Amino acid sequence: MTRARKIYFLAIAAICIFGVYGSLYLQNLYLLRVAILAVITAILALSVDILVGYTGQISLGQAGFFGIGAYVMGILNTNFHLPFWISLVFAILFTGFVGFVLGLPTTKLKGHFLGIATMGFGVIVNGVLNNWTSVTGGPNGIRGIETPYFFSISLEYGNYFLGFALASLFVVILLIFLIVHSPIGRAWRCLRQDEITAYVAGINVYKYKLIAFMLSGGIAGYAGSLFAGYMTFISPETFDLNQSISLITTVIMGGSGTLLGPLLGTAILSFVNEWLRNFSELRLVIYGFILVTMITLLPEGIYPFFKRKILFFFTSKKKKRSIETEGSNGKDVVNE
Amino acid sequence: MKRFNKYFALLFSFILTAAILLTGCGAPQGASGGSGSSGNSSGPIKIGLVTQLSGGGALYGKLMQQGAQLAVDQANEDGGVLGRKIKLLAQDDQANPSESVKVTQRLVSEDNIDAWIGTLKSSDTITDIGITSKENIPSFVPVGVADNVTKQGFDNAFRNVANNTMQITEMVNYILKEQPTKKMAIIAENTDYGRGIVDTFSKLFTKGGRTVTNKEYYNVGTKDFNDQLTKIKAKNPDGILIAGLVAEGSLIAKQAKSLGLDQQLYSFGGFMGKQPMELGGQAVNGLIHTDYFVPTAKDELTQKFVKDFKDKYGKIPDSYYSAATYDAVNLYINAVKKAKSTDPKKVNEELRNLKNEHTVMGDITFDKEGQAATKVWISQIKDGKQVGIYHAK
Amino acid sequence: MFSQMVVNGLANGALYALIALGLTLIYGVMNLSNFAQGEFAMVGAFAAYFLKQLHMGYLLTVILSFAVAGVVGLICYFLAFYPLRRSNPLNMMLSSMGVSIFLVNLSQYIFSPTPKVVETPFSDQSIQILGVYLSEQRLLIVIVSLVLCGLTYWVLERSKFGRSVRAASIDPDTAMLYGIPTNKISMITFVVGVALTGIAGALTAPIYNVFPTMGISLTLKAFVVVVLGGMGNIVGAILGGFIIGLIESFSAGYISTGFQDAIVFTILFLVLIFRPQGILSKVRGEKV
Repeated sequence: MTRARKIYFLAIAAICIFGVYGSLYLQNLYLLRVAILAVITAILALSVDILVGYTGQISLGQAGFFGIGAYVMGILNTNFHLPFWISLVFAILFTGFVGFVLGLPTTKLKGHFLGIATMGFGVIVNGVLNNWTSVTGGPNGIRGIETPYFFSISLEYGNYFLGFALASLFVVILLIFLIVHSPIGRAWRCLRQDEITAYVAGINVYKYKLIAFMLSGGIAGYAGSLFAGYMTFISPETFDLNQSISLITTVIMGGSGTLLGPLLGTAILSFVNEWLRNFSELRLVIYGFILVTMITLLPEGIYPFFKRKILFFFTSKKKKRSIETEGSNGKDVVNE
Repeated sequence: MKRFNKYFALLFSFILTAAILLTGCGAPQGASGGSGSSGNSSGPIKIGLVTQLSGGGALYGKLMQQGAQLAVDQANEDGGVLGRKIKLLAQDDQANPSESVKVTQRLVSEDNIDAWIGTLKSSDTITDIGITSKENIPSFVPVGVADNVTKQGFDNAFRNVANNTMQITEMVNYILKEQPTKKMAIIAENTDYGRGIVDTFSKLFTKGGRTVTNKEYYNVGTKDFNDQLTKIKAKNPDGILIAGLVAEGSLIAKQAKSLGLDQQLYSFGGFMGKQPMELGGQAVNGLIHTDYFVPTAKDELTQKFVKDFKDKYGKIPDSYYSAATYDAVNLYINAVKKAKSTDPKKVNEELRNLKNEHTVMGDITFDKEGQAATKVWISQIKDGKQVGIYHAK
Repeated sequence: MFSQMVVNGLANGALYALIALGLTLIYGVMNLSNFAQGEFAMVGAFAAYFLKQLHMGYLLTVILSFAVAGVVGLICYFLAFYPLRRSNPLNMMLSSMGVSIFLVNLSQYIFSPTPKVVETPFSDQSIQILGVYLSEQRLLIVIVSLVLCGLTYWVLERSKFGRSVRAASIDPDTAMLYGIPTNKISMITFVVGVALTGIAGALTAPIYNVFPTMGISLTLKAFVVVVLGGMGNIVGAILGGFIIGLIESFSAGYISTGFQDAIVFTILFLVLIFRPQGILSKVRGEKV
């Protein structure tokens, strides 16, 4: 542990605390709502990043986990009158379990097949939410979910909720950071590079993929519970294929396989989305255009691109040459 | 590295918990009190419209926007209200609950709107009015028809269109009295609107001693209904009830005909106006539906609305989406005129005290829940024309 | 009811097969899961609508819609896919999602969301045999789909061009070494693939009407079909189309219309678990 690293960590911790505190001073109700939903999206984006970025899988069904988390919360809270926090635990465990069950068959799949399979998972979940009216309320959704108390602080006030959501986000970041830097994370990186090599090297590929699915599901379920607690109303439209697609877009645009990338992606896309409201009718036309442009111009993602540029700017000439060759090697791996 | 991480994690979570706990004591009550700037008295009067302007439902959302814009333009041509211009702020909610609350919050706290109109979906409408009610902003519901919209205890919600139960009761009464249809098949869109109709209709219809043979659902945006219709055909009903809107409904009618289903078709408010004939052609001929707006009515106000709408947009206002939203804007303007202020409290009071306010869709009186007792009657499409066939007393 | 369900399933299946054919061709050569595929059906349908306004014969508009969808496809190819040809397939997929959002909303902005009706000489008449109904328009769709599928198959199997396409889809690098212009091949395949979908759009316009969001559900169906048939497998796509059409029809008839989509995807799931290579394809050993 070098000194520079220590300072780096302390700086991040300071930012976190500052962020949580700062959220209490945000006076604008509209920005508050945008910020809370963006933080929830950021947690979701990180859950996608576990699969897409760190493990090299694809998830086009993350809205399924998100929806299950929200509905477990909604059903337990309104039908069985369980308190928010207990429902939350159940929601996380249950979505983690669903992730495990989904992972069992799908870890055998790769690439596009995995994409379609996870997409199918999302569609099935949405179909069940929409049609199993006796339990999920169907298209009417579930209304009247309790907004939680956090040690006698009612999170009904947007500022407190934002503070809580941000704190959750930081805990999730920390969790992912710790896991990625543990043996599990090393195994993930290995199987992302080349599954067969990982297999040959004695890594239990399926086990580590299953862990990724469970973790990703659990985190998305947590985000779903947060969403349910915040909105107090949930209906199936929120958890459709569009949601899954916009999540994976966020991750890839921001830069998959990094912690900051999905956060940056969420921030940028949330901002763009709200800003484009000024264009009323052309809003989504421009949105689509921006999407295509960003992906064709910066296929590696925004964060890695700028990181590379900035690092490149500060490194000496000798090192530059070695980075250049490394860079081209990395690219070949992706192409295969 | 590893040890540091553990230590770091512990410290970190401890600090976070402490941070949140501390906020309980000395934090500012930022968002708790409404800053209440909606009663501003300078600049234009702002009316917010939240509806779906992209995706499948944009067809209906656009009509709402056009109706509202027409009313606003007319008021401005007459010199505005209380010497102030009126401005319409339309926002797209993509029929998505979280988008819907976001744009409603934006309208309320960024744009400081004085009145709110929305949305296409009843469930989103309820959540949104939850936000506008904090500032007591007069909120109009011209399209969402689920019963529970006006049953949430909001003092600021006003619906100037018949709700689901009112419509369905009319329809069932009519069928029981005038139609021989004993066995009805229902094909419904899989939304709160469609599901609401299925539940209420089957209850009332079976109470009248008749039977419902099928309850088939389709997702909004579906184009092929052969599967549902084949299933209906196998049960051999006397009539088919389409609990959906015109885009899908006209296709259902068309595809039913080409499957050899010649049963009497029934539907609801979605089949008003000219659009069903344009989209369904011969197939919708003879269809019976509830009606609450006739563009050809002799009424002076209606004629003016239809003419102005045609001048502005080049077509006759189809269905009630434009008319009801147009009415909502005018109801608000008139209430403001009477209250001589845009103060939400006074305007709400005026709206609640309205007696038979004459609008395009009939005379409006709001009950204490904010539901208008509007007229509903039954019409039939006959050779390209809408013909009124049944009025309840 | 049973025979009517079979006919419904086969009629829809022919349509799915036609769209899936384009999708699977594009996947095979470009390794692209094209989420904008259905949008080209929309483009084709709008083309048919506007050409019909010019008082053209219906069959002529169908043929021209092929060209229009092809041209739009060519533009999209160069703007959204060509720059990513050496990149991660995931990026290409996202790019296609962007194209889909762009096309849907652009057409809504220009043409308004109101559905438009396309008249055909066949529109509403039905053929009735032993109590089974099939509208003439649907019969036309079945015939045209089968002809186009057959034609495509013949071109791929018999012509020199088809051989290059197959070579490029099996191994683009090796194909390039043998002097096959893979970039050009992938461009032509993309254009033909989406243009075929454009024809599907023009054919369905009279029964489904024309509106901006009409393509979205078609894309999903096409993906199911392609996976079922085996990604990149032409015969599989055609067979898969009919199978999905039948499954849909029967699941709606015997189980539930509301759960229809969920059932179709559940079956897809099972196929993926037990035969991930699709119903027809042989397992191809993985290159290490």
